[in-house]
Amino acid sequence: MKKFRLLFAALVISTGLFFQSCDKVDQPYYDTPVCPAVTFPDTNGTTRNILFEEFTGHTCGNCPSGAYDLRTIWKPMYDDRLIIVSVHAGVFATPDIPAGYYADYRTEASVEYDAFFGVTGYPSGMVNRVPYASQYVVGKVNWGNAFAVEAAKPLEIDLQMYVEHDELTDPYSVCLHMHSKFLTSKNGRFNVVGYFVEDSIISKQKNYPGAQGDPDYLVPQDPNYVHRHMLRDNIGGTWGVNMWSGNAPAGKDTTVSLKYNFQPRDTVDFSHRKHHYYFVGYVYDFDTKEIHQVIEKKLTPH
Amino acid sequence: MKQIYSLLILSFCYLQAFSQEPNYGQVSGNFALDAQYYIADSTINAQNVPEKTRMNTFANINYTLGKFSTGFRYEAYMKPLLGFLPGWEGQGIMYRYAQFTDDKFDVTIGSFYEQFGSGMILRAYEERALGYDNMFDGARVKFNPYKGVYLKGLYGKQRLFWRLADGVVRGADAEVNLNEMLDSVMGRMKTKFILGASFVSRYQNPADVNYVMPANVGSFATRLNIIRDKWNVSGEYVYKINDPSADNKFIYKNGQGLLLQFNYATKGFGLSLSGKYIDNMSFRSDRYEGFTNVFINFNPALTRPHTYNLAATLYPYACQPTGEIAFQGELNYKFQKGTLLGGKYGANLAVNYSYANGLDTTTFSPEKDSARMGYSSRFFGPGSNKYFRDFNIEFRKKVSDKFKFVLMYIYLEYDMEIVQNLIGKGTIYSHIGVADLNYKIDKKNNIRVEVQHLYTQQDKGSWATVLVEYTRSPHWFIGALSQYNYGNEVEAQRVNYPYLTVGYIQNSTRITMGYGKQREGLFCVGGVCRAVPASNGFTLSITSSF
Repeated sequence: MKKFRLLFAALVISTGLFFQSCDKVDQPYYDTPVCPAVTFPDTNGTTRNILFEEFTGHTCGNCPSGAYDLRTIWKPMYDDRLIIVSVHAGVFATPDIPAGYYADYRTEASVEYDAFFGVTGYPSGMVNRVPYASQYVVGKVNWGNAFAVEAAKPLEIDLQMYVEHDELTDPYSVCLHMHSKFLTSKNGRFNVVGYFVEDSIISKQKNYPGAQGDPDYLVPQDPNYVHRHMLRDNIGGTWGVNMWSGNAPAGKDTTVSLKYNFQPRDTVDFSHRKHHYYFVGYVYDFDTKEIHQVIEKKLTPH
Repeated sequence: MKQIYSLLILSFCYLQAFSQEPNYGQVSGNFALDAQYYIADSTINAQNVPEKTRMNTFANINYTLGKFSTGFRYEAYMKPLLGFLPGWEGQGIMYRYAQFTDDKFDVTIGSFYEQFGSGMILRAYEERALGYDNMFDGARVKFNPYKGVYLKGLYGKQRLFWRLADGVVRGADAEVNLNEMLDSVMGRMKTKFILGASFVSRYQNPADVNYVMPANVGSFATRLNIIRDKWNVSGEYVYKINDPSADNKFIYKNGQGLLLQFNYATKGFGLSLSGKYIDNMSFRSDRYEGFTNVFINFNPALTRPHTYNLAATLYPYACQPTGEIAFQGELNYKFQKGTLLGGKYGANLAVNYSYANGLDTTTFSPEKDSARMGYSSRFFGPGSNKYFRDFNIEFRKKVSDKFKFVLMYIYLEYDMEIVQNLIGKGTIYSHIGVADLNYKIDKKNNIRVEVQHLYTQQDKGSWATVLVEYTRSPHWFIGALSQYNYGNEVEAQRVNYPYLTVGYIQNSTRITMGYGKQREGLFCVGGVCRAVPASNGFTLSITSSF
């Protein structure tokens, strides 16, 4: 009986210790230091770049045909002026476990963009978020025309971007510094947004045969499909942070710095994957959604 | 691992050396094998499988000698059958244990399954057909210090496919049967009282690049069961402190749940009512895990587990651990022999209704939510989102010594976007009718015919199913199943799914072979579901026990 009492006492004490096993977190956010100030050179850009946000999904069999056109026609034509981000959203981007499409590449922002801009067909995308034929979301057949319209426009707001990354002391975070400058006077509300983009993700993609899909991939449901320039996360939220509101005279400049911590999934095999990490920054009119300038930078120079 | 094997061997030696009489103990176990040969079939979207065949198999071997028992389970997934997560691929032994049990103690080291109360705070179990196994690996002690007092404590990590999850789980449970404990005062009372309380805590490395994570997440539960004659009333409340996870999108809101059950049963009549409220109660060993991996707790289903094919696999309800409110009522009535509906042998009527809605919540805007609480919710308040409705009525009757039948009607409302995460699918409204006719030709021969029809204007439209099953006792059975999606809006997808089975039973061994097309659907057990992809090909299933 004495043995039982001892054991009973041990159990009671253990239970008491268990009750101590609760950590209440009142402040979930790290008290991270603000990104240190940086100085940008006082230069004026001259060329207006084009951001193409391509709506796609891994069970969309037509979508690889859009990626094929972008890779083989439009990117060679516009080179660095055309910055492509693949936005996985909509019914074709949902995981389909029975069919082996396990990944979920949707982001909080991609879902909101899909709903806000009313994506109805694929392959499709937005060209600087400027409506073409009254539609924000432009079908593949009109991409070339929409690119030509945007490429002919003058640059009105310049944007410089610096990705600050200290690989030794803080490898899994960056500071994204975006410096905008009005080249002409403008009135309105202007926001800046950062995108974290990952290139060359290999996973299964439905691909219709021939010209309906990407003819460089011969397998209809290819587990080795290379997903290019995929939007992985937003920096500054879905609609970004305000850079300027009201009347801005020509020459007015502003710098916005945003801290970004990589998600755990991005830190796996970081030394290898980091070479596929990009950051895209853009400045846009919050009311019309028109993107005035966009910049792309790699995390690593390699 | 080596230490455990050494301990097992030493235990054997000890028991052998001190045995008074030759007693070699008892070996028991079971074996199961499921294999499939896949044929690509574009008409039903059955994918090409490079390996052509895949196989899941396992065998449990248990050894018992007096108060001591030990055992292991060998498993092989080469590769896992389609629909099982790829992480299962591999073979080996994850489950092995040694256990000592006497009147007051029960000690287990190695692998074990456990449940506290209804499972809302802790439940580890395996369901092989689901690919679900969240066993613990560690140590468990059960102790019965006094009559009517039952204590349990455990410490371990949970299985995640072929490794153990990162988190460490600690748990304790106490149950007191007041009538047994205070037998001199309450022993003769007609009303029985059983009280219980549990505490479970998980430790996981709090390092996270985005948020300050709690290293230790605690959860407690308390329960009461009152039994008197034909009445049985029980309730359990569970609470969990902040547990930001992939399931709740890393919010810090506390979780809670309440389960209430009431049963009344008398001869020829049974009534059960139950209600459940679950808010942010997903609790896993690893905050970053998804699917059905490493759940510490269990969300009991308050829906009827349908067995007829169309209702069971097209639109079965999967519980939503992040938040739901559910009710279920079931009435069973037996028409006595000699009555109008009872006839010569009597008849049974079962009426069941189940309901699940989302919670009544108010979402906080991120700018004003510095504590990342996410939302507020009204306790036990149903929201406007309908997740599931199921009204069904079943009539069973034996007409003669040779003939009996079951007639059933089921009405389902099913939010496919919520339950299956299929955006754009909306809510399904369906009516299902079933006739199950069984004719015993003679002592050895039996034939069963099952006719089912599902009517809906949503999803893939209406279905019709016919099953004919012939049994020749005691060894053979053969069946033919046809499922026809005749109501599909797309004409090319109005596919018939024929499937033939033949089986042989010898004592405790059962061998089944099948060939044909199987449509995609969901396979659910107790509110936990696994997606089953469409397939075409041969299947082989062997089960045996000894």
